[in-house]
Amino acid sequence: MSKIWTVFRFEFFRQVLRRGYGLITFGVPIAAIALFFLLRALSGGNVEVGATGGGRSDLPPGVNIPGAGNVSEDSLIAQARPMGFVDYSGLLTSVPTLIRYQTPEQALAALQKGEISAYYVIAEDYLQTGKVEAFYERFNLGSISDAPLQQALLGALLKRTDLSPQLLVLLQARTLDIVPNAIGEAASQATENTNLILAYLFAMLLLFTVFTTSGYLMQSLMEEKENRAVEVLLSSLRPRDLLFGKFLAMSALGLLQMVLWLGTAIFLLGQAVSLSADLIGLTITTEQLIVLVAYFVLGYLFFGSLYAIIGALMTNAREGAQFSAVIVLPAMIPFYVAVSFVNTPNAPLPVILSMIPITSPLAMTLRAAVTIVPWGEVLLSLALLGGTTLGFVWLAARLFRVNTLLSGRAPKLRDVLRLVRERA
Amino acid sequence: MTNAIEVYGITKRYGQKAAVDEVTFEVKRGEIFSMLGPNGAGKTTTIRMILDIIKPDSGKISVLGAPFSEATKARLGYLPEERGLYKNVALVEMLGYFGALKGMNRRAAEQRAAKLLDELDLGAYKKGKVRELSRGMSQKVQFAATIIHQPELLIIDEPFAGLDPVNTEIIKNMIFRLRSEGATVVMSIHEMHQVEEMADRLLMIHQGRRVLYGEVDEVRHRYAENAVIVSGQGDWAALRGVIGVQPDENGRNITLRLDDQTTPDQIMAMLANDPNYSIRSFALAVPRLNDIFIRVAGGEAKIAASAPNVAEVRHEPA
Repeated sequence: MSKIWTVFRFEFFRQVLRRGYGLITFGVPIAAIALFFLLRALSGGNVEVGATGGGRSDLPPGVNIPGAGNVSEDSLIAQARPMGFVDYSGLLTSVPTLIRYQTPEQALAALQKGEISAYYVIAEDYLQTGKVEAFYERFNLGSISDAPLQQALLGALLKRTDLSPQLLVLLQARTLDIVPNAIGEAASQATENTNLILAYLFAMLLLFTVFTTSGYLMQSLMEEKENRAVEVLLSSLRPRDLLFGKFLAMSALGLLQMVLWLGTAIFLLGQAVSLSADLIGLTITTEQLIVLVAYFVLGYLFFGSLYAIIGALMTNAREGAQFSAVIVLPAMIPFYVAVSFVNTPNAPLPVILSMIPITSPLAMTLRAAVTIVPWGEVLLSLALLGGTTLGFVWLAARLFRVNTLLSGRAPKLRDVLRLVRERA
Repeated sequence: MTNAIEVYGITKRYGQKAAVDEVTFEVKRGEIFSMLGPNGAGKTTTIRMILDIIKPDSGKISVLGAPFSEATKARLGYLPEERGLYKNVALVEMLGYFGALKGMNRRAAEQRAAKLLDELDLGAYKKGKVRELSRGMSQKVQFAATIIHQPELLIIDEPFAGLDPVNTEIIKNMIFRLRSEGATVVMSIHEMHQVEEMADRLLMIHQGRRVLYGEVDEVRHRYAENAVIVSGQGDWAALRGVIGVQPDENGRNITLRLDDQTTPDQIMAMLANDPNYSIRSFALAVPRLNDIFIRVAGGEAKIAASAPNVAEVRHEPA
């Protein structure tokens, strides 16, 4: 175990200090954040609305409103699909870019006709509760912005002296406490869509992370074969310990990369839209979360073991890269038939794909996003994935030992079968 | 005391071809043992089987008194024929890694690495990387990686390849020092003069089979012709029992080949008692290992493996 740890430590720090890894892992998030704030600054992101805010004289000088800078952009979208509001509090008379309705029923009818994309209801006791209810048809990041309502409400609030503590807190935070509401089947569809998008993002992240960091694993194995360090290493430790150590190091690198990217994405998303996750209809159950994490971890190990096999068999990085297509193409099959997953997630094709180890990480993730997958199927699929992964890790260690030192060329398929049987 | 290595009848086949065929030998503790053979003879395969990197199809191997185990790895150092170093890792860090894999404390390994680099005249490169080093320097770093954990058994494949005479001397002295400290050294080598100078015993493998095995001097004498080498003045052909006279390239030394009834002692007595001959030097004509190697590798002597004066391993390892 200590040797696995020694290999892990050495490989982790060796790879993490590599320029390529550092550039991708740390550089991309930094560049994305920098670019985001640069664009926001260029588009007047943090304008002082009261002083220069284009005639919004209802706000005092110095009050910044997040998202206000996007008003013109949002307004364009709102012109295509505007939003509405119903005000029982008496705070608002009119709000530019928002359509006023007298009753929620009128607003709902407009929503269902497609005249508006969402509407707010400001209750009579708003000054006590500080809550605004939002009603929307479906999730659409681009078309929903609270900025117009927010500006109008905050402007009105600042003129009053009888604010409740809750409202003062919101005012200090310069935001709104919006309670999301979904409308009937459309909302359910919106939630499904949101989950599907989440599943897609998750799957893409899994694939990208797996394929980049597994590439590092393969590259690392190749490097030691090419520079012959492997022979020195194998005189010090077992091939499987070497492989496990590398494998764990690359997994840690992959997870580090994923956490950084995901964290950056969430941060930027949070900055980009004023919608909270629950407002856009995102609902992840504990079961779904377990499934996502389980498939990410096992999927990572599975693809990593496949790359390790390629690394054990091939003699140089170029050959390895060519053969990695053998893994990538079948793994992407669920994407090619994504329509089946959305329309008929429990039909034979999605079920079968969620059982085959090479497609199951993506397939099951997609299915779990749009339907309730029976636990029996999940457990069977995980067992198949886990068992195959263990088998592949053993095979990789076996091939690594037998093939590494004996030939200078990549073996053919029949040679692989012979190598598996051969005494090392 | 058990032998450092006992190899009994090992065979390794790849398809129909036997890379190593029924090879038996032993390496005594504390000796410098040399493995010889032409390229592709089976030396590296034999070494890899001793190291348990590959397993023999048949036969038995005992290393440091027991069949090879994971615990054995910490007690031996291996310098492979094809050097393997990380090009982009600082030398001390890399050597520390190799030491840690041999069971050393990481910090102790790095301290020892720094000391070894000083001894190898590489002290200025402790923080440097292999890609910044010359081939000879890399070779010395590889040697440092082999001995960082002060192994009991050192197996080194072509330790002097690519080294200039100065660095060869440095490595050679380190090998002698390790031997004096009790280590056993097995070296596969092509420089025959180094074998003559350094090795106590040798094994030669040719086409997977053992063809020479024994003490270095004994093997050389085994291949000695019935001849003497003299320098001086006189009519060499007139001596009784001399059937051939062959001067060397510069004419200083003359090889006198003798018939089967005449011994070198008799020739020496004749020369000492005959005033017509003036002798400056007299020596037995013992062939250089290089000549023996060429003769054997050329297929002349399958022979020696079964020669009566070859020391045989007569017992099986445990």
